[in-house]
Amino acid sequence: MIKRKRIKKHSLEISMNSLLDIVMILLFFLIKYYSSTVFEVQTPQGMFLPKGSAKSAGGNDLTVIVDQNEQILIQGTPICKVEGLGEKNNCLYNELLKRRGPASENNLAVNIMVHKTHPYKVVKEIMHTCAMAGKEQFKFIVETKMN
Amino acid sequence: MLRRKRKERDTNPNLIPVMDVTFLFIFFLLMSAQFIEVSQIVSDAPKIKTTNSTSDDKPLNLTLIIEKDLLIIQKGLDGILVKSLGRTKDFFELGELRSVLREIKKSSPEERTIIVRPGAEIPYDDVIHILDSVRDENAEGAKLFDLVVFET
Repeated sequence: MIKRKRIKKHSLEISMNSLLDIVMILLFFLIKYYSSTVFEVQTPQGMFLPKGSAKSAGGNDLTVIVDQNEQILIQGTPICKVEGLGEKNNCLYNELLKRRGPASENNLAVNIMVHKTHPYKVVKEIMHTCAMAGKEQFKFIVETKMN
Repeated sequence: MLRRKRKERDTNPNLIPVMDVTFLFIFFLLMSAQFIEVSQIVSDAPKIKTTNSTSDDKPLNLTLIIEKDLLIIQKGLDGILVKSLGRTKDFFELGELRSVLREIKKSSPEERTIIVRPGAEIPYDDVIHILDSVRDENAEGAKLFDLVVFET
């Protein structure tokens, strides 16, 4: 009887040391990438931001994205395509005006995210249109370089 | 003998509640993890301002023109050429650009603005790469020219 009991007890004991080791490694890895900032970046699949050494984090302003297919998105919603002339984009302009709040609540800043291989004229078109729609402070969102 | 057995029990702490908390913590961290760290480069739209002509202080009006194979640094209202830098095998000579800008900064330490005029076909990635050098920090942690204005 005594022997049986002892054997049963041994089989129930699971060594948690190795599991704890893995969990701790995972925990440290996740803590390293933990972000407490409110600014969330959701780039379309296949879009890559240029790498820069700026240190200030982005704010929660209106975000205009130009993806790898030259599609313009506002807050993640597709609006229209880039015209590629470096001039005012009427479609984007109208959409920005639609999203404009009352003068007191109007935020002048706009986050601009452009696919890294696009020519400057695409960025110029976005900046020009945003400035005409009253968004005069541009925040170029870049991927932070890891030193 | 009985005392010994008690001692054995004490050496095995109950790890299950610890594991529960740890797993909850892992899920929380997974949800809030951001694997791509992003930052921002701030630029203002150019504005036209009329200044008092009686003032003796001439604006620096530092301008950086980015062309396909050339970086041109100009200053003053007349656009006096300071330096033009060619493209090497890989990219522009950014080290030299930084040293030229440092010299300008020494003569006008209060100036923070630089006007950037990239060519229409210059890749956005290259523009950001050059801006990094323009906004570069010195040994004291002060930036060269942190206010970038794009000439549109």
